Amino acid sequence: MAKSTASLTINSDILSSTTNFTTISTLTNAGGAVGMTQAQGLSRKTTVSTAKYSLLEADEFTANKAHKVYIKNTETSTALYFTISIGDQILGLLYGGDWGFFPWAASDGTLATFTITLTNTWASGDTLTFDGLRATSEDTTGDAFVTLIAELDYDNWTVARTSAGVATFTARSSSYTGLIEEGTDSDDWVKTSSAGVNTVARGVTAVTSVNDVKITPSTTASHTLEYMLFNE
Amino acid sequence: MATTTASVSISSTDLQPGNRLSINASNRLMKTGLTTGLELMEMGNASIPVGTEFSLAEALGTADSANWVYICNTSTDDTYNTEVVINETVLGYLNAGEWLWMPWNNGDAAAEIEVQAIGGTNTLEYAIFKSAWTLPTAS
Repeated sequence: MAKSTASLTINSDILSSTTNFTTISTLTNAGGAVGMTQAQGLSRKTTVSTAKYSLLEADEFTANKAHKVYIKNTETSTALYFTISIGDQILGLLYGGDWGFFPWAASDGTLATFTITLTNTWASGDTLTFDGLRATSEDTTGDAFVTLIAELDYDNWTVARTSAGVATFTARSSSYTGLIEEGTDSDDWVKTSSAGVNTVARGVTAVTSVNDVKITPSTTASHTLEYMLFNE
Repeated sequence: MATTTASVSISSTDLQPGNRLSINASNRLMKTGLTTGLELMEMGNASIPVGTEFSLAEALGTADSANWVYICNTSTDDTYNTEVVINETVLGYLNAGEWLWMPWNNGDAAAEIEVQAIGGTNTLEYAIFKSAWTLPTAS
């Protein structure tokens, strides 16, 4: 099994007698028996505005595992700091040179879903455009067109054929909270077809994750941090 | 002026194929304003049974100040985990033997650090370094 260790050493003379301690832990999956085998990074990110950035999105990881985040403000000026948040909950401030290492629950949000049902006759060459991608029918049946659509790679949605003539779309991120227009005249889908009918129906309503790891730079100057995720 | 340094070393020979992972970082803990070292700290050891969410550190300081928190789950049973919560947000889980080191915005009740034991009575050790802190008035 992969073995990764993390050690912390604190040296302090705050008290009249010196305080020194070192703690070493082996990073393991939840349950503690298996070493953690996945990681993202080590990465760097540079910011140039005071906007809040998502560093790690909880939707992309399994919730409530033993994930750990290492993060360091690599600036040498201590005046340039990041506010570290979990969702909207502020954790603390990371000044130039500061680092942190903490567990991360990665509690997911809820991903929006909708279905599109294709009925009537779809001539070869008919098109349906959604999320910036145009699908072109190669057959006359709605189900054949759905099968073709289900093979496409949409930027913001995953798609699967869930029954004859029906495709179910699932948002890639819970932060997508827009409502797809329902019905046979959905403006979110652009159709070219003389006879084909597309019917859109919303499924699950999105709930944005409140557990993304976010950073907010203190100024518009260039701020750089490095980070790494150890995950299951 | 007090000097406190926190150093981390994270290493792995086999987590990333073909790349020996070695992260080292060290920082000196400074008060807000960054010209004076932190001078206030409290340390402790706690035993927390399953079923109750305990307040490990009440946020009685100043918002957006420089504060640091160390927590280690010193339990030895692999099935014992500690859930760490900031206010009502679950930060994550510490397996037996694991630790965290994080900055802490300890300005108000919305920043309280809470811990809950999973699997059995957990033992924790902790240290909190603060920019400002006043002992509660005696009742």
